[in-house]
Amino acid sequence: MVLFEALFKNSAHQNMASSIGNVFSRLLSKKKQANMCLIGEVNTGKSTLANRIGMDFAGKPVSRVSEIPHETRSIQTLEKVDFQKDGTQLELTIIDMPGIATKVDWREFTKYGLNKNEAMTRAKEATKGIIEAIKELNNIDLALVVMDSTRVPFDQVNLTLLGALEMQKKPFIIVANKTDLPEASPEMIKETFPQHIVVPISALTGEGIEDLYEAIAKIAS
Amino acid sequence: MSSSVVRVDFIPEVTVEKLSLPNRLDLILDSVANNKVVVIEKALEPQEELALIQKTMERVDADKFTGIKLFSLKSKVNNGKSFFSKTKELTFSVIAPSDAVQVTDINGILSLSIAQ
Repeated sequence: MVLFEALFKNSAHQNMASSIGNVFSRLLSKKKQANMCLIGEVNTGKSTLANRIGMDFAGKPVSRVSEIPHETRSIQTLEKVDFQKDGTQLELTIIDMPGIATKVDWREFTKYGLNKNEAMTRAKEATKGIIEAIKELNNIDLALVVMDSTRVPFDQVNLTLLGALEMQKKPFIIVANKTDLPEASPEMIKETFPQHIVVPISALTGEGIEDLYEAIAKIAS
Repeated sequence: MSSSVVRVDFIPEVTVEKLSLPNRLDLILDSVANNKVVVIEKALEPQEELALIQKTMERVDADKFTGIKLFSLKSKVNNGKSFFSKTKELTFSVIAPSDAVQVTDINGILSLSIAQ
């Protein structure tokens, strides 16, 4: 592409050549490009899973992880992730979304040792993050809807997200996370959503992660 | 009105249909912010629910308003066994103040537990 640009002397022509070069590279590449988001309720392990995928295919984490709710308060992305599984190659942008909630109360954060000011700032940032995440849903190609297998899955946030993705005809996989915990019941998630693909995993231990990669490869191909 | 009394507003489908989405969401949130429970005949669509969550987050205020409880219920009812019988979908949404009301669905029965 650099050689191609070098044939042109002025910068306008070089820019045009660069654009044409980019189009050629994309056409010549066999890899599909996809924006894959991780979305779901708060504290379901989205960032832990994003980090695992990032480490497995790009050697880099995506987000910070914490037990305090709303740790991810702005969209975190990792670009050019070279995903390969079962002959499927994808150039993924991993988008780790803030957790979606219908309520944000700063008092909740004080239970985790934050002072009033820190808690109020966190709450304000969390509300902005939720708005940002909902807007970003329009720009994704594939979604991993991450649910916590230790909770009942009927929460309206889950139903709303799945309904919205279905209406937008965006492909998605339900990830039944936290199977390492003794009280986990991924079967309940499967029973609740029998019409959808449900993959039980533990993002923390890696159990079931290959099944998830197979499901991503299958849905992308 | 005593603080232990929670008012429930039922909004019929005809009223909902007359309103644009932003006006519908404002009506819901104005009521919920005033500690009322809103029941809407004809449930919100998932995209409308996302818009409601977005608008709720814009309104969250440290002490006055922390958010909502949202629940949509959908069930199909058949009015007979004949060939010409029609299946009607009954749907409604319940939107309540997050602190005052607990909304649960147990075996298809919707329960509102109101804090005293």
